Amino acid sequence: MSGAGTGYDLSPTTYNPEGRVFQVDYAIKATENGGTIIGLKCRDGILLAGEKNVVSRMMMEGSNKYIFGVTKEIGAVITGVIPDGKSVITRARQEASQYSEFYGQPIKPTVLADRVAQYMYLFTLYGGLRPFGSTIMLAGRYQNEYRLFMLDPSGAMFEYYSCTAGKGSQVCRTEIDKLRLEDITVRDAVYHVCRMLIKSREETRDKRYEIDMGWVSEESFGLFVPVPTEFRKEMENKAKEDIEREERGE
Amino acid sequence: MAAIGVSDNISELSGMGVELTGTSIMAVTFNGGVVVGADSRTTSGTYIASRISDKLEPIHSRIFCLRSGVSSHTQTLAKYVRHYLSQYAVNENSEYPEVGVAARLFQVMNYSNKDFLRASIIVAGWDPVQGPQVYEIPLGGSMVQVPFAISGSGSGYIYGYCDANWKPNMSENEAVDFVKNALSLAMSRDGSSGGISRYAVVRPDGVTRNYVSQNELPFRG
Repeated sequence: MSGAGTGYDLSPTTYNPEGRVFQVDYAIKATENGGTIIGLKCRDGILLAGEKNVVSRMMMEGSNKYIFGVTKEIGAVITGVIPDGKSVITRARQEASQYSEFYGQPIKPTVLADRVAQYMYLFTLYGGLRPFGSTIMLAGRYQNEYRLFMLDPSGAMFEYYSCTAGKGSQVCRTEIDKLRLEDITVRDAVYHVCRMLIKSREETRDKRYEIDMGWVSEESFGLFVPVPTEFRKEMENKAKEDIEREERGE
Repeated sequence: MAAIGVSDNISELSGMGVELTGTSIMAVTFNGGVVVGADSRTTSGTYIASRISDKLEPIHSRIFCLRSGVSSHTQTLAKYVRHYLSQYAVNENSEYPEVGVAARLFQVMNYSNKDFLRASIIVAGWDPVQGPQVYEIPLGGSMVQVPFAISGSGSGYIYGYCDANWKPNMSENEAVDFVKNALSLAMSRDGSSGGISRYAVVRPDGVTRNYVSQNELPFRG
């Protein structure tokens, strides 16, 4: 039985006798250490959210966001090795803009997700490159249909009703399974997601953190935009109070 | 210009045996699809290279293009567009790709190669997203969507007739009659257009092709 570090893990161009490519597995491990990210397809749109530690009081609030717009109607959230994720987002933006330049149409979320996944897959094929250590969630609207995709470092891409990744993904997964997503709007979902993200933080709650959110929904006229800050903060505070209240046993 | 077979001078070109489509072509939207029509004469100077040619070029199952200019240029453009569009349709899982995409592909190629091409194209068809559409891509490589379009050497003689007789939301029969009459008038006055007039009706449920034989043409010069 070949475990890690037995010579089959030196390069993405090597399989081990069990048929695994360790470098890709290690890249996936890197994403599991990142901040938790969540994507939820609700009744009227999709909400993307992520949480991150804020290391220093000197950092400006709201800087270094992990949520990105790719086109007017498609957005993304990343976790894992953040510079890797940002590089993939740059490529996604280029793909989208070249596509609309050539075909005269905005790129569909399905097509963009496929292109980005192929790009990530490319980096698992060569000895001179390393796989991206980042998981990407893409959400977008095309013709009144909302689509949510998650891409991992192996280049695999799946479509989801809801997905989680990062440190707190298991906790959030169980919380999401309790919701009936078809019945809630993205607006309602903001509160639920704040609850999940706060609950899933294993470190002491005293550690500073920030939550980023973006949505594409009927409310935003089909455009991917940041969730309004005051509203998000209001829901965060409400979630925090509700959790503290529950823990006190009321 | 150094490229073989390309010249600003029409008579020089036709003297070299390059086929030109002196032509009458048109496409019309109606409430339920588009009608495309063309004459059937291909000339090389004054020699009629073909008197029964088919200028209605299918690009995809519900998209046609009508070609005028230098035959080899327009045929090659159509081949490229058909190739790219079929890949696009497969990648996007769409049985009926958007007409605007086909038009855009013609435009991008026509514009980037404008120094080497003489091609004026009408793209017409139906797609489930936007319904019936007609686009004109003239010589310079611009593109504009229009409710109906006429082009080719014969089109100059029928602008008045078309402007006077076109109306929006025609039925299929009205649109077909409009095309038959307009093409017939063009063919009766333009020496480079003639033969039979072919037309096709593109609807969501399919395409029907037909032609009007010479002795059935409404106006015969």
